[in-house]
Amino acid sequence: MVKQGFVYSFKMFESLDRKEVINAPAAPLDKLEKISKEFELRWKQAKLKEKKNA
Amino acid sequence: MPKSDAVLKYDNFSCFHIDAIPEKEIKDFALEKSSAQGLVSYFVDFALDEEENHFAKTYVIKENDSELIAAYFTLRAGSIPLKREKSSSFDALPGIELAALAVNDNFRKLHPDFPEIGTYFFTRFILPIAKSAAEIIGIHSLYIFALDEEPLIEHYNEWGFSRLKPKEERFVHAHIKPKFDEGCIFMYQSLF
Repeated sequence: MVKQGFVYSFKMFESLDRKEVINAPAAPLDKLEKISKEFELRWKQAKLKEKKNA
Repeated sequence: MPKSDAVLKYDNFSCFHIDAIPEKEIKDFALEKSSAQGLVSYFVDFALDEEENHFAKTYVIKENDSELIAAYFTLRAGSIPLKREKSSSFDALPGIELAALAVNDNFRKLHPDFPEIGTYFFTRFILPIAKSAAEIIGIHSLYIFALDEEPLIEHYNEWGFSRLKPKEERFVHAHIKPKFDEGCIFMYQSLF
């Protein structure tokens, strides 16, 4: 019965129009990585400048 | 792991569980926008209790040099209800709710030349922690309830969060939107 229940549920899952949900976009990693690397570089430079001026 | 150990550590910032942070530092957290005061209240008054009760995990990001709190975010397990066709029941897609996220305005003011700091924290701390959880249990999506403010929705869009179609959005709002997220918009993204 458990197995039947599982198969039933799985079929329900398959039959639904939810591909759009399941295939939702992920985070734009390339873009986020580029922003983050630039941030790290600028942050490092700002900190060096801060220490130099201290 | 000792409480003081960082969960994630980089050259510039490190991330800790909230129970490793002194209360005095937590109380110094500030946000200027009136619509964001709930996030301050959650962090100062409730986050530690929720951490101890395992209702949520709150992470605090500190700058390594100054040891100032730069931001916090809260994650909790959840699911996205998906309506079955011609039925009142639903299935559930496993997810992680990014229940809170805020950059400390006291810290932001010290670094006005870095408006992208939130994007940096999302990329370096939130995504890796969510993905590491998804490596060990079934998690499909990361989702948020965003304040219904156009610039904020656009901002989350740039991070890869999408809105559902209106009918699906209404269904999700009716089933899983907590009271304290009233008026907020459900947005989600796949973790893979």
